[in-house]
Amino acid sequence: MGRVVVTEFISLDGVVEDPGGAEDFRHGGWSFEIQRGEEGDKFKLDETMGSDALLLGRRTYEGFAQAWPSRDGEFADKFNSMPKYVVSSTLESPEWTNTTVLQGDVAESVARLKQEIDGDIVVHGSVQLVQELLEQELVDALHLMVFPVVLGDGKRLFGTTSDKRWLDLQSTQSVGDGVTILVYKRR
Amino acid sequence: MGEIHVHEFMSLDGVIDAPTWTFDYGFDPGMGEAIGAVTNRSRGILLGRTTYEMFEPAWSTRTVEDDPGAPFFNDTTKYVVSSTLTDATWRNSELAGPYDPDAIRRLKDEVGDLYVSGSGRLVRAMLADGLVDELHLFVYPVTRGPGPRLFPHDAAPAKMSLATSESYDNGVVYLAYRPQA
Repeated sequence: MGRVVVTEFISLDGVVEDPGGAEDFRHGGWSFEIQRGEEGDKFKLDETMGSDALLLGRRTYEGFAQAWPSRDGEFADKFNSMPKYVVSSTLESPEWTNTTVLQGDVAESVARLKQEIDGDIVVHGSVQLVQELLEQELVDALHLMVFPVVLGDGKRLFGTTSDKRWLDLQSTQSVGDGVTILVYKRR
Repeated sequence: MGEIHVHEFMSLDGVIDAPTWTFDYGFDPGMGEAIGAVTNRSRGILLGRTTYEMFEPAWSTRTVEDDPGAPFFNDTTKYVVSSTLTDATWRNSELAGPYDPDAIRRLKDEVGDLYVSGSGRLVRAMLADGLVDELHLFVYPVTRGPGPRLFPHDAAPAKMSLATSESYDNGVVYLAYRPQA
């Protein structure tokens, strides 16, 4: 039985939109303006080396598929080689290695993935998908890298979620220039 | 010039409404110490009307035996920001009139450090006007969904410095931030 791990770069006001600058958001690339330090890098590397698959929304997938195939190194090799599942009703013939498109009911597809994959199915960004997974209680763990910045506008992680007590704090860590890593598990 | 220290109980999704939902998590002694460090340095309490009206019945009948925070809340002068309140009945209270950033600056000057709790509307206005010196956020491991948020969708972009981070056995995370000038 796999578990769905959602990992996000998030501003203090809860914005998760375009931290890497691949999309057309006016604060795009905001996560690069604040150093997460070596320990922050290590957290991301460990998270990725411990991933068994990626589960992505279409927008995040397209940003990643542009950026990662041309990169190398331990992190990029893992990203490029591991199985990737992209939730989309429009995407056809994806070119990034080892990609499967999930069509149809998201909750059903993800529940099936959790049956098939033994290990961490990691979701990066993909705010629309994550909101649906949260609502359907399909998220097993949440990794938040909280950056000490208020962005104001931008898509928020918890835009429309309902009142839910589903979290246990697993660990906290301060890294880099005021970045806090919060790890939660589903209760 | 005093500083304004804002204390909020906040859900993971940023909601800061009346924190009755925090009771389920108990009150870790470490949280009491962290809040005590803020109240100890404060010479005045600055509140919006809604929070003031919620605090008055809750605190005015309590003593130090009921809650170690009671003397601070009852004995410290409370400045209430309101355009409608005409009579502040809780002892040691003063009406500060409608929100006016200059009036708040004068209070910082004259009183010294001010402690603010809850008071979402007031805090959002002070954040927008650059009047908050430190935000003390106690983040609970729960999402609330709808509700008033500390940071509205039109919040001005701002960089912060992390001053403190701690976590407690009840899953609450304490994060203190200072807006960068």
